[in-house]
Amino acid sequence: MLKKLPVLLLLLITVTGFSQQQDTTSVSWYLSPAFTLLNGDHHVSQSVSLSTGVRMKSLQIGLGAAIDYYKIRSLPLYLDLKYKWRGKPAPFLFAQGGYNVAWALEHQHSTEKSSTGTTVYNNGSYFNAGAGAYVFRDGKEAVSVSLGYSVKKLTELYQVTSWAGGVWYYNNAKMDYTLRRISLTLAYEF
Amino acid sequence: MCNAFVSPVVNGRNNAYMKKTCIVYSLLAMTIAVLSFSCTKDKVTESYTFYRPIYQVADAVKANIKTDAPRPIKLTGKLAIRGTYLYLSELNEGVHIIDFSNPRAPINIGFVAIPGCVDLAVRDHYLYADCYTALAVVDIANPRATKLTKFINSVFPDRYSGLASDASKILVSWQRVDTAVSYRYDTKFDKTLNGIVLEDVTFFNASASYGGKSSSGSNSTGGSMARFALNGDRLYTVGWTDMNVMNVADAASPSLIKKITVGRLIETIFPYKNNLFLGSQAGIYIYSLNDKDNPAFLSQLLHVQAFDPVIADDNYAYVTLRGAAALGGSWLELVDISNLTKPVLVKQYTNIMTDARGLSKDGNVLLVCDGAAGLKVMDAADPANMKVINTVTGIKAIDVIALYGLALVMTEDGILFMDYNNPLDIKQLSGITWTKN
Repeated sequence: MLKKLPVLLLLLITVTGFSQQQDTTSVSWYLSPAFTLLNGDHHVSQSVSLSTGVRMKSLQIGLGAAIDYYKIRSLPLYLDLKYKWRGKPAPFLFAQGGYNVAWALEHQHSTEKSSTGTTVYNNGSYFNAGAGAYVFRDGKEAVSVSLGYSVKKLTELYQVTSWAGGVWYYNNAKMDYTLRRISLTLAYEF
Repeated sequence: MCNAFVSPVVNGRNNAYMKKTCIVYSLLAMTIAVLSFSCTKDKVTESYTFYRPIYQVADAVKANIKTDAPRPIKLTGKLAIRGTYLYLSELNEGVHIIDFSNPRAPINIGFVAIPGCVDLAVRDHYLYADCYTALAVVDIANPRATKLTKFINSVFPDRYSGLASDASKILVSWQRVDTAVSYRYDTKFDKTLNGIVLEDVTFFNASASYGGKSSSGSNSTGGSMARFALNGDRLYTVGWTDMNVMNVADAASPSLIKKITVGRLIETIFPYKNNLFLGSQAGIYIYSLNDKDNPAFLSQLLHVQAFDPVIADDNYAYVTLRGAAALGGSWLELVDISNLTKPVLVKQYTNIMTDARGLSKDGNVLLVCDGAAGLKVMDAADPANMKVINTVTGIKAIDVIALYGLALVMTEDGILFMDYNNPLDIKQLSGITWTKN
């Protein structure tokens, strides 16, 4: 919890640092491709994403999908929420949460641990939240920059064969990954 | 971004104030963001199982190496036959002694506890069995009252590595441990720190089998898949890449003569006349025993990697192979060994075996265990044109010993005693069933 405190403070400060005027546009659809730089544990990577949904006044709700290349490639599928303020540049808070579908590359399997020479990935969860601002707006088109904290989880399963006491034992083993990174996102919205 | 709907003068002062506030907050936010980088450590939690060795003081173990009441048979290892007694190892537990003087009514008469026992051989009235890395010599003159006469340490160092071989302790059992360990994703983790023994797992791939005629003279029957072989007054045992030569002229007191390096992936040893046939996953290695203390390499015949017990007669070696994806996964090979320095593959009998294992030959009858497909009986009068003439089905045949018309067939469930005097009409005389775990 203590480790999450700076992030919460970041969100709180961002909210209080800007004016409280809200966006009052009517309901409309949006589509938003984005590119994200992911800075994590001794590793920098990227992801590309696409989200779509509806805008309702200050709130934006949609669904998104991404290809996340950070350490173990995966496909996050998530619910995309955004709360934005009016202004120029307009600040916003965002939160994404959902499913992290494993799509690991061959060399990302820990085959050296497996007695069968293969491992299988199980899906996990995905979370990303932070704050940002629209740096360009023209009607419904906009470009935004945001900073967030992202966590994705995966599980890798493999089998270990042990010979103990002259008997073969076949046991299942697993590795639960929790991958944490700071995300810097450039998004285009229309 | 910081609008207010008041007079221009007041609005201007408010805007300046708001801008300063925003700058302060932004700088503060960026600082906190930078500090948040410390929350980007990736973590892995690895959940796995390992087996921890349990030791007992050597003197206590040795004191227990004697015949106790018979036990149910649970997990078989190797066979040795001497006279009308069958010595059957229970993997890593000890040796069952079975009296089959009446094949129709074999009797399990006792059990000798020998931790780590897998292989065994009998000379005169002495049983040689491995006790993990040591060789135990047991006086079996009276099978119902056996006793340990000698214990030789460090004979089979292949049995496990990564574990301190302390002669004052003997490994007696294994404890299963389920554990989970968390660490940073980008660090290496060495499981051996938790006590996993890096045992040479392929050392015991060869299942128990003996195939061949009954013992001549004072030695037990040699077979197709054993790792111990007696030839005259010498005991030869094979490890993964080496062979021990032991002097057993004094059966009560064997002594190690030498250890030599032989081939690789060695699984079995079969003595025939004055030669040794070593079966390995890579092929067959043939050694001469003209100098019994210095086995001399004669030749080799390599094949695809597969498990392969081998037996031989005067002119041919018979090899069953299994585990290779090629050629249907299991087959029988006939090798011409009339010139031992140049073995020649004569024929491969493919598509007649599904899971070929131990085999044994008696005259013109070749008995081949074919796993769940049963016991295959082949007419070997013309080895180059053998045919399956009978199949005993309904059993998962693993090993067989042919003894002048009596076949001892080790199956998944027990040992069967079969009369094969008429190969076309094999009769089961009796059987001993294992206890299911």
